[in-house]
Amino acid sequence: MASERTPWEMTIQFQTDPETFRVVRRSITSALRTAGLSESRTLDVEVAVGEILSNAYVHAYGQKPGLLAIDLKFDGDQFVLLIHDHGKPLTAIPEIPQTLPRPTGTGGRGLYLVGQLMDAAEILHPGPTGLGTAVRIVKRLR
Amino acid sequence: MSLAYSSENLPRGVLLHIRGEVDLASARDLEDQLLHHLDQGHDVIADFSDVSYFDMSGVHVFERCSGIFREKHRALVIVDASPVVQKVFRIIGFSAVSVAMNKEEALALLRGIDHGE
Repeated sequence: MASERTPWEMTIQFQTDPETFRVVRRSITSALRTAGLSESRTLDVEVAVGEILSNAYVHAYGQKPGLLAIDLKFDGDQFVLLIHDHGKPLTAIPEIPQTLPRPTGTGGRGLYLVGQLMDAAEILHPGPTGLGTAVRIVKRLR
Repeated sequence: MSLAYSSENLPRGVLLHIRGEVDLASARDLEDQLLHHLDQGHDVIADFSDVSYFDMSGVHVFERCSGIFREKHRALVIVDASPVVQKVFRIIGFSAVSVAMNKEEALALLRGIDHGE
């Protein structure tokens, strides 16, 4: 049976700044809650988005100013978020780790966390603009 | 807004209650707070019951601080972690710092730690 929920989409563009990330997280979670996502699943998405933004801030832009965007689409059954930057490509971690990386390794625990929190997650090289990196994450409504 | 802190003195340490979001913007402040209490010679029980957001920024704080506390023979224990904190810890197999269910369990952990005295 087809969902009766109305599909919608939104895009947020912003600069790399940890305080701004908090505002962005809240904007995203507000939209998810309004669309009916449970509190627990909303928090999963919030942490995943926070991790991806932190990665972009540190690795893509070296903690310097840069442009980030989030495309959020809801098709009635699931939320798809595409978070993309125009910074240095993320070459050290070609895909979302499926096993927990060691703390002393080259990183990746944050993206492992993303993969565990979401129903689907993948890294796109390059991002949709042909530059940087994008991370696509999916959370089903139920 | 950053994190809000309140503290309660214990026989040889402090129960530090943390309220707010532990993220990239606030992690340094949390680390400074923990190390400030360490500099006072305190064991720290960090009450995380009112932490509404927590990510790897917070994990990194505790991984850095655990070694510093250990070097100074002081204890750092997390108590009453909120659901988001518990979930992050469970997924990444967090073991850098002891996590207690409640204050009594945390105090028992402190009693069992070698303070180098």
